[in-house]
Amino acid sequence: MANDLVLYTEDLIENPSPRVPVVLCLDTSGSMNGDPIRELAQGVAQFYASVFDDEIARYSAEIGIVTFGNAGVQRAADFGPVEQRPNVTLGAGGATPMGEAVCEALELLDERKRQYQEAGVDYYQPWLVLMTDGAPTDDIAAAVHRVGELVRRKKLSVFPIGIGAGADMGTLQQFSPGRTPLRLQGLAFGKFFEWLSASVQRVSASTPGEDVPLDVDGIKGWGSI
Amino acid sequence: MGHPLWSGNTRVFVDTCSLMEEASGVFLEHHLVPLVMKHSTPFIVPSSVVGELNRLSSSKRASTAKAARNAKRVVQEALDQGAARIVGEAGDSFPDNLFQAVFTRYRLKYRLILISQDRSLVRDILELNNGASVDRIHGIDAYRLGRYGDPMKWSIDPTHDSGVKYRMPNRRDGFPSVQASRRRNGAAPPTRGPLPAPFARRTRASHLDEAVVRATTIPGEGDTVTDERGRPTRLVSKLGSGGEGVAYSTDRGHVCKVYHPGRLQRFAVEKLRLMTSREVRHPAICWPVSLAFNQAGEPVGYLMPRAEGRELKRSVFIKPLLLKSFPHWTRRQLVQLALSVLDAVRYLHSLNVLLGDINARNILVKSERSVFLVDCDSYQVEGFPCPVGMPPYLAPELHGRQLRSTLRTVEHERFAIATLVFMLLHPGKPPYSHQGGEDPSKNVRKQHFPYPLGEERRSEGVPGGAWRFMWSHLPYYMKEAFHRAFTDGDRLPTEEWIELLGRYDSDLRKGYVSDEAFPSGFKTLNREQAESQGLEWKSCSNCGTGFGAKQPHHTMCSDCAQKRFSKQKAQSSASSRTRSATQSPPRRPSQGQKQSSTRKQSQSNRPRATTPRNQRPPSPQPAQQQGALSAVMKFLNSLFS
Repeated sequence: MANDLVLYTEDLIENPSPRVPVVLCLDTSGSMNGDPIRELAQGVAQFYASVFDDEIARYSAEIGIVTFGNAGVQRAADFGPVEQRPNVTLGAGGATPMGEAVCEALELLDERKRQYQEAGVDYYQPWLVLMTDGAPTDDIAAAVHRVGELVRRKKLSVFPIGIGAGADMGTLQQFSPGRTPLRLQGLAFGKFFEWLSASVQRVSASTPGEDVPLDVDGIKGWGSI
Repeated sequence: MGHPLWSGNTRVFVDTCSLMEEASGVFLEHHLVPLVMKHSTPFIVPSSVVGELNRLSSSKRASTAKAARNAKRVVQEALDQGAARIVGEAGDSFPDNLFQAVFTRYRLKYRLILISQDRSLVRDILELNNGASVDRIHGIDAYRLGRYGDPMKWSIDPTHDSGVKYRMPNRRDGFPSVQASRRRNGAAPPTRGPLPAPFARRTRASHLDEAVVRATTIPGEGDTVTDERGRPTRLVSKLGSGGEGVAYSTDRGHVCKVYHPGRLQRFAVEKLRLMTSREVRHPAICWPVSLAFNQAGEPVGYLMPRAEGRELKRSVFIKPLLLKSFPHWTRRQLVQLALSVLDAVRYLHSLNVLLGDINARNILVKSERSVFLVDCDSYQVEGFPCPVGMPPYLAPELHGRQLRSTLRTVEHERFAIATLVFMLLHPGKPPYSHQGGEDPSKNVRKQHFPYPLGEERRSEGVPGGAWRFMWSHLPYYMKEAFHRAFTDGDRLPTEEWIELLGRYDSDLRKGYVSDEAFPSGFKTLNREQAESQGLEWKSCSNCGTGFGAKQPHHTMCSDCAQKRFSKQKAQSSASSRTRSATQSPPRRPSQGQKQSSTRKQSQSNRPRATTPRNQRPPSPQPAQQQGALSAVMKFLNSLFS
């Protein structure tokens, strides 16, 4: 355990690559039980793997995971070196406290930003990937407001994804002032995470002032609007 | 310098090591003796060299003894012919000091030539060409013996390990006899071609014809393209692809970049035609050699030399990858790497080409002396701008500008160069990274360079980690140069960086500065240095080593203090992480917390990263050495007047 702490700090100060923090905010409510949760877990594992495979992304991308549903809101994975892929087990059950989860995800990102600043590590503005298959069971107003503020000030990029026919796209749209939420084709998590890791790589290559040039053609492959 | 190489005013000295070469007899007989006889200036063998040869003749190692006896024999033959003379007396000082003293003394009077295989001696001797008023020096040259006794000329070259390199002498600067022997043996072709005509300098970007060049077919793997001369080239396999196109290896050794459909514009074809009109042959530059055409004769891309090695960003700039690719590297290799890159940059500048987009993905490293600059089609040539740029290399005044239509200036380039040099010496860490910073672009625009410089500039917000140790170990002139560039905005020209890095390389070689690639502590002073700066010499309460206490209450050496500090930081991070998700997080201490407040809490105080004023370690001259030298000088003076 002590070893992990030292590695954790050492990575922050030893690795000079500018970071791209990505927080996955994932729905693990009862309706995800069965195939959906299994596919999602596999997709997440694949995400870690493909980020790891690219040398530049491996040392730039940082992944945090917040789940909502099973056992309320949980920090399933904290930010840290991608090499130490956490064993993320996702279990489905319970309600859909999306509002609380999004707030938690924003907290997680804030903390990480403070750590970057203390260590003098460069970072790009974080990404929030929000995935749900239904509608929220708690009040999302506060979360929507906070997200909106951050996006407007260009301090956050949001990727809202609806899973399956039951996903409430209207809610997702609220979280995404600048970007139309996408509905995942079937359970094509793999393709989505592949696209996500490719996009992460592009971030550090962007010239200042330009928006991150995401490969929209790639999205058409897996999602439908 | 005006003097012909060989005349009555030339004095040639031969060193022990050259005489010990197997082919020394061949060299003397074919090259040196005819010349000195022609001009009646016998070459000089210092008597201390003779003394060395005598000693080595009775060496236990058979090969050494044999070589020494051979050397004595050839010297004797030359003496008998009147082609050589011995100067000095037994008990003269070590030959190296002697050469140094004699060459320094007589460079204003004679043309001096040293024959030696010893790199560091040669370097010191050739450096005597500087200093003193240059026009009064008659010139000092140095040669070594090649394998078969042919003379090869030494010259100063900062990009080389030892600071010197050698090559075959050409017609103007050597032994007339060499041309004949070269025809016999066959000379190797030079690796660098002659400098082509420079491009024109423009102040305004040309109007760019952005019409897309349509091609009926886009070649792929297995297809054939033709070059400007109509020669067919087969695309063998895909090497990689990017936003603009795909790169293929070819059956002729070149790489072919084929643009994606719709990505090749008319102005780009014009630019490539302009670029390929000059033969730019530099081993480190993958300059376009020819446009590439499909079977219908339409331009689809271009051919360039193949690069080797790994991107800086995927090797040197990431510590675990650096250790994997180049495990034995020390600071010297980092400095040499910088010199290798700058050599190519300087070459391009001499052609009036600006790279524009100097970054860690465009520079491939095979070794510290073998680098490859790629993506050369994006360079700024005449009125064609460089359309891209990346933080942290992009000068602050260029952020937000339309790079596609803006011609850069050499000032912009110098910012990128300074940034690159800093990032090579602090592998991967951008200069404007600091505590409280953000993304690389914002950091550059904020212009806060956090590293200290002596007493005048304290560090504020310097990033955690080994970077400040690396900084502290830099020689003062390097730190000063970085401050000029990053604090004062006085961006150094490439030549000056090359000079400074050459000096740094020399200091590393001589052991004046630490050679660790990743130092784990601040530069440490020895007791004498510490006390001369008024620091109290103490024993570390943790490890017991002696150290100079920068503050009266310091009880630990900087290494131990540093370890304690990182451990405490790790513990405080951990305690904030293990909170449960449902609790609201305790407010962390204010963001503006600087290192000083941490110091109050902990018993171990982290020392500030200040630079000791005295950079060089003392190098005393032993008294006896002085005495012997002056005796030799006196004697030699009497011979030369």
